[in-house]
Amino acid sequence: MVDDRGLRPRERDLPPPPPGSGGAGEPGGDAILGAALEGLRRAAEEVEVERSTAETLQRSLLRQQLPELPGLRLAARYLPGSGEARIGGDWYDAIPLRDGRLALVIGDVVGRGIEAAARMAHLQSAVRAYALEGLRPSLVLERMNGFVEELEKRCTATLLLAVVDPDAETVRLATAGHPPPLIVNPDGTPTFAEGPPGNPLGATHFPSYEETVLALPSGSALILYTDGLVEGADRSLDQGMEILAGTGPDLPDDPDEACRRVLDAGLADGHAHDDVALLVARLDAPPETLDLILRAEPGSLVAVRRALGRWLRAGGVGDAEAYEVQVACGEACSNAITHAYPPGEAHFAVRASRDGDELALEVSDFGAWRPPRGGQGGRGLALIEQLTDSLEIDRGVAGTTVRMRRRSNGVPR
Amino acid sequence: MRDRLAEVQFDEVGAETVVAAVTGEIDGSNAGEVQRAVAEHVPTTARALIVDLTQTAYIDSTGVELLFELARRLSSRRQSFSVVVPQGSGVRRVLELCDIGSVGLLVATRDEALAAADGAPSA
Repeated sequence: MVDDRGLRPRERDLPPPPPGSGGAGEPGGDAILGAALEGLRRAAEEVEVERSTAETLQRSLLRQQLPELPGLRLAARYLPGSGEARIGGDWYDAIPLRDGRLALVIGDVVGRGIEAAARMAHLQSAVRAYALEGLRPSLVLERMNGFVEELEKRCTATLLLAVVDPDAETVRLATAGHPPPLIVNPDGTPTFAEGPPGNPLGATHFPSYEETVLALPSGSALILYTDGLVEGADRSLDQGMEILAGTGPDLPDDPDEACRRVLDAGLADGHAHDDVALLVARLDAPPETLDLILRAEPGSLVAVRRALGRWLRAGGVGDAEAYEVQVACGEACSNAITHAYPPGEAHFAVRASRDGDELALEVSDFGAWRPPRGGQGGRGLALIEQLTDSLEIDRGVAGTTVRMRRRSNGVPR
Repeated sequence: MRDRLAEVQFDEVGAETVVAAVTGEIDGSNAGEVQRAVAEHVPTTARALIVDLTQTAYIDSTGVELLFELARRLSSRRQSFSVVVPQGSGVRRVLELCDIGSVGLLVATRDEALAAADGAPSA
């Protein structure tokens, strides 16, 4: 081990630097320059600290894990601007609503740095709260305008809300001065979802916002972005939007790859001058056979219900019949969740397929199944029997499979 | 009470009738919470509980079990119990299959339930 203590006495032996000098042997002029450089270095450091603080704050506020919905895949990106402290204020969000729809949010708070990031946090929470109340998008924007006006430091922001209904295959939009999202149709044709324009938040006391409902057919993608993607020193907004639309024809199916492609095309030199937030949603066509693997917990029941409902409706099954099939399947899933497992993480599988004029459902778990003794399990099984034409319970060593069949009036689309 | 799936709103009609309206869905993930919320809102002095499922989009056997459990509690306190579900709905079919009529009154509108509660004998 090297010991450096031996060097110190000799350092102390050095004579103190003469007054006015920056260091031993430095002439006075260099000292002034040195101090000026030091000042600049500190200023640059401060900008860098502000930058990295704003970026950390910004990133910590954005959803790391986007919600998953049957048939709807999401991916998002946030890129800090490369310009001086050009960070903060852009955000994306995805809020699952109670009825199976998903609210997508994209917004841009005017301003830079920590302050803009902090304001963005306020706005993000408020949008979530209003959206979770089940308010329609135009009303959410109206409330948001009021919210912005009540902020201690008023600000201006653009905001767009897009509520995707995977069952109806539609998107309901309202915008507060935000650039229009791009819909990439299943054949790759791009269409900007231009709706009635609305005032940015904080621009006027009594703004009015209108909604547009657009078709979002299975296989299409919805791209939400902030202006940093399409606007730059080297091109106009129109040019930027044209470049974005150009990604439509060969947009990758996977939303994550689609994000990469869109950023590659939009940011010529690979990095953003201004902040960029980007959110891509891809609506998948319901598969011929539905295959799900879910965590064995009660919260998974709704996911099965939604996925099955969408699959059934795509197969031409009417609402009343779909409901009964959902209940039957849900009961089998409940049994798999409640009876089959010791504590700890476990999974169960659901498969739905069509066999001629019959629907075939299979719910499998991988645990030791206890036959229900009356109570809920008993009621559940009784319901399955009443709502299906055949019920078969296969108790194997590796787990239990419940097979249900039901004649269906539905005609596949 | 509200969670990701359901919201329960309470209304008192007169001094003795409590109406609990459930909007959304009831399944194994929230049935216990819904039951607790409703039970807590029915004072022992109430004469009748009406559970209004007009805006309920989904119910499964755990939801049905919740209704049976409420009915048991109420009957032990001689309180009347009725459930409102519109004719022809999926929820109605499930409740009929489970014979909810054996423990309470199943009606199609809230008015019917209120009229019945009004006529119910006092405890």
